[in-house]
Amino acid sequence: MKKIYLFLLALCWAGVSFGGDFVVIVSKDCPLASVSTTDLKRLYTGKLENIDGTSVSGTNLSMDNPAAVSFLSEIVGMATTDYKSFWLAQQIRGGSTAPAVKKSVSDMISYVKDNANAVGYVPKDAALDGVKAVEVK
Amino acid sequence: MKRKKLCKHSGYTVFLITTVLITSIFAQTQEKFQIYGFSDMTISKCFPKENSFSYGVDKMDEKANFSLDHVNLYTSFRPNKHVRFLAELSFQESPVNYNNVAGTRIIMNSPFLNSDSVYTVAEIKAKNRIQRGITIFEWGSFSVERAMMSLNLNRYWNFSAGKFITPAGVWNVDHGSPVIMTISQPTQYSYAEIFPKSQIGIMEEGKIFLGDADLSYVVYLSSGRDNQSLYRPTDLSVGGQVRMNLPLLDECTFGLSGYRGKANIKLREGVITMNTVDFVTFDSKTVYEDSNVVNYHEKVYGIDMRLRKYNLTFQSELNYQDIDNNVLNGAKTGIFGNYYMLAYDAYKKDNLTLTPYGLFEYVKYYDEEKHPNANPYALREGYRKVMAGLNIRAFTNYGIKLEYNFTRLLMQDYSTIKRDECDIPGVGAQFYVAF
Repeated sequence: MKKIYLFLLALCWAGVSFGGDFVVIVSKDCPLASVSTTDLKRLYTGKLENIDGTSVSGTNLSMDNPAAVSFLSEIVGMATTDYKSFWLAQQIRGGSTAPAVKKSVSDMISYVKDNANAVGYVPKDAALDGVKAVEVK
Repeated sequence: MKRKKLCKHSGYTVFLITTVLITSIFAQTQEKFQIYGFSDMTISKCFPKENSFSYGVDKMDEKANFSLDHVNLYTSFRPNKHVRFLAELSFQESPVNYNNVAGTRIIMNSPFLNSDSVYTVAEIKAKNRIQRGITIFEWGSFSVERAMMSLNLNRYWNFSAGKFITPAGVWNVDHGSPVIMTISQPTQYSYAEIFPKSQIGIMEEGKIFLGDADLSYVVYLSSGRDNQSLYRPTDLSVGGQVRMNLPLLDECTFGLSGYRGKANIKLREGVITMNTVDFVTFDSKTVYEDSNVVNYHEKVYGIDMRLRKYNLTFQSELNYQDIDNNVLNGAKTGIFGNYYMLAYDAYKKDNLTLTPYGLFEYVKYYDEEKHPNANPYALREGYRKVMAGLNIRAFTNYGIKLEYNFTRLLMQDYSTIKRDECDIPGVGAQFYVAF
């Protein structure tokens, strides 16, 4: 029985943290406390602009950042090459615009801090100054 | 009267206030104005037999051709997240309305009659003459692929008005060379054009989330294929598309498309009747009479699917056009087109992807002689086409496609063109860039 509890605990932990090297962040003024992976995937593929009544816009880190590679692979389900191709196709189709890209972690944090509707992600060990982490369900 | 004027003024005021509110309240910090596009250049060469009919068709003969097929420029203006204006202009190097046509010299040897027509009449023949929305220059052509104003209210209600690319299948809207795997779109979207390529009208689109699955829909009302004149409100064309994206594999999308329209081209003549009243006075009456040049109803249905897993992509579209040709007393005719594509990302790194691909296409004509666009000199049962090649993409935006293609025309039984004259093998290379 104990083993089963441990196994379930491990599953829950894996579900929350995704084992990835990133933390999803929003501004402290943003009412979002948690977000589902499906909503995050839809947000980063231009299908969603509103989560639980809160207007949101996704922001990416530069594609060579390991946190971006991890986030796109685990949440969006695409390699960075596929993600870039996806947005190129969206552009040619005349669809929505790709999320803004921030070159560094500090740029991402200051951007999210100043924009109440911005959703971003940073490496797990980054100092969350003026922003808050959001639970990914 | 005053009240009417007041109402009119207040109507304008409401419109202005609404516009100002829309363009200011929701103002965002994102880039408002964007210019981007794509371009491609193709080198192609066919290898027809000397007796092949394609020896007499420009660019399907034995000559190699360089062509700058597209320079497509997009301009997008988004003053806020609810309003967008998008225009796509396409520049092509070749004139779209002229085509070299081989002359024909007929020599007849028989016991009863020997003759030689002596003269061959090779000519530059006009084509695409009834295609509207294209400005023709001697050095090339320019067309407005789309120009539309969109109002995005929420996930369910997004309205657009203007010229739009028909939402049908996968590769009609995804029409750019950096996105299409093969050198050219399947011919059911170009040469055969089963669905209209673009239309002018109004469109509503939206999305519904069903658990982890996404359902997107589009409905539109338009002036139809080639922007037809509307003689009655019932001449309006209507169509739509539903696409379902399932959370299976890396990509799993199914789509249904439909279109119902009417083509109605009339020649109008003024008949002037003059009656002499006396030597200096005439009484004249003018009556306008219409004669139908093109008049048909069409219904077009399509299904498509795209699956992707383990770097392997399978894509297929089946489209069917059903026509009642009213010029021929409602004679039934139609086109069935389908294609199947398989592609595999054999090598994929950040800056380079190598994708071998193969595509088989089959287009079948039903009673082509009754089809409004039939060429009575070359009636076919249909054709089969195979395209196989390698798509080399670098840095996402650049690429080269190397391709072998083979087309076999399936002529009607009584055609004078023999089977071995109907095969057109060829090779091509295309360089493309997105900017």
